Amino acid sequence: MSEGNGNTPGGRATIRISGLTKSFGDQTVVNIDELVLGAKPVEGLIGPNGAGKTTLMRLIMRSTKADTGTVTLEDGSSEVVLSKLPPHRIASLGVVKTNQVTQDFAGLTIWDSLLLAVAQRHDERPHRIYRERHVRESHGEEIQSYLDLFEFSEPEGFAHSTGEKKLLDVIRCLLLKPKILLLDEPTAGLPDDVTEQVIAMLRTKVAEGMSVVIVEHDLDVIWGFSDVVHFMAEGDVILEGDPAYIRAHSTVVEKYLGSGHV
Amino acid sequence: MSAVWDYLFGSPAFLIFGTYTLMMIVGLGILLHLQLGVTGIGNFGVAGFWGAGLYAFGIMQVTYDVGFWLALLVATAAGGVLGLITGWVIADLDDDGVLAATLAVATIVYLAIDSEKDITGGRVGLGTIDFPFDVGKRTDLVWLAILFGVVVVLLWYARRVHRSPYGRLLIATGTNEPLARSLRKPVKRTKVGVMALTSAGMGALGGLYGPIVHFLFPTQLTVAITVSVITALVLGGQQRPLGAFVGALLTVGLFDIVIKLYVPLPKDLLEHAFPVTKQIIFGALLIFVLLFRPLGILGRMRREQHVKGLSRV
Repeated sequence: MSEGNGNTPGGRATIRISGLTKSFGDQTVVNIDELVLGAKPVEGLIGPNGAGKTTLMRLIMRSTKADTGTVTLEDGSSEVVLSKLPPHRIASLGVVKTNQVTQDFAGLTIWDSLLLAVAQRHDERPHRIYRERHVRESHGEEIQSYLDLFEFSEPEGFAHSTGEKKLLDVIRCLLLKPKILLLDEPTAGLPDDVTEQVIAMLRTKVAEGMSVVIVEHDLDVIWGFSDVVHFMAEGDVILEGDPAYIRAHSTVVEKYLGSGHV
Repeated sequence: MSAVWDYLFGSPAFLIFGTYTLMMIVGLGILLHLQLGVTGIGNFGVAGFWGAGLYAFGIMQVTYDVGFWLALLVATAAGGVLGLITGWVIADLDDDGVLAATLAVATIVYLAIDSEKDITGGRVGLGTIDFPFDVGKRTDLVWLAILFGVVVVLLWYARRVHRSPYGRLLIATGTNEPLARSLRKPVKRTKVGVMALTSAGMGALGGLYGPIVHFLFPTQLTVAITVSVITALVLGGQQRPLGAFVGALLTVGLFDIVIKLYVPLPKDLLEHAFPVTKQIIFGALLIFVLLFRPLGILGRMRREQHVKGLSRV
């Protein structure tokens, strides 16, 4: 399966996937024997529509249940089998994912949504009804620093456009201070300049130690941002390597890019 | 002047009983607001949780002759445990499933109380339950003041919940469970917790209702209670803490106090046709509001006002 510059072990947390399968009816959507994600700071995941990229991310987060296989978080000397945990526990361990389809909380404002992300469990007990000031004072500055990076039409109100909701999704995830951030088309629907801002923001976080696995149809983002790229087709990762290697590989050109893209 | 006084307060017992009912509906409505309006749990079995508390209180007082506070504690626990179990069962169900399951819980409570005659007295009734104190002719008024105080505390709590991280967690759980989970929020535990907490409150209100009626009958636990609470909350505004209060004034307040006491209806009509007509009107009103103003008179939550006022929290 692996060619070119594959994963190299480092000090980062990684996700090890073993024997992972998922079928919907007769169609096998994911069928991965062995895969390690997160060894490099930024890893791209590309492939044609229906290759299983989003399903793989959902299987890691257990928002979709796998038919077989295990997903393990390896962090230093500790190993945790994610495929036995509920989704909120996986997020608590530092594996966090943005959403391909725009998601938001209908009843919550932008500030609400971000304060929700940073609030700890002990802040959210039924008897802690005077805890709001503490949460605001502890995290308000950090939240404001993110809001200052982008232009929201009504920062104290609700997110209106799809772009604002996409940004909010990314910021919420970053506020969780993930070890590994899974990004599923984070810049879809964003203007070019905002896309650049998002990538710049992510680069800062990567420099601070966060790993990124990104699914993105804007291949310029993949080629420019990723340290290593995994190419998926028919539910499996069939190629891995640095962006230049993957971009020029005949299989990728044939199955995905087309001859004019190289 | 005295004619006006006599007109308004000429039937104090009826007026006080009507106000008891109003307070009870407001209290239950505030708790249902936290379940339905905030967390999105459509509890159609309010009568069951309230009834579990009412009968637990009655059994403790009548059969076991325990004191008021212990009986009230047992009533609260009965509602809470029933809410805990129900919450665990419904946590993974969709909206339709939650409605059906909670209605089933209320039906089970009703049938259990109706059939377990040795414990509950069945249709013969269970009594007598007295007020825990006696201050003469004013006892019922004092009890009404206590009930009013309890409702004020519930309203205060609900308003504080809206301004707290807990409230935000409940809203997030109610509006987008998968997204809440992805942000580390234990959605199932949150739903079970809020069901247990608010159902305990319903049980406690049931216990406080015991001394008002003195005798308990299974017919007090019919779906009419649930319909009254839901109608009041939906009419007033299910997303607002004051919704139940506004809605209850316009439903129970209008029918059980104003029309019953001050509109000269024939006695036969008042005793037989009126209660049925009232429920029909409540049902029709519920459908009308859901069709044309689903967020009720007070409308949606004003979260942006809360955010602007965070510095004053």
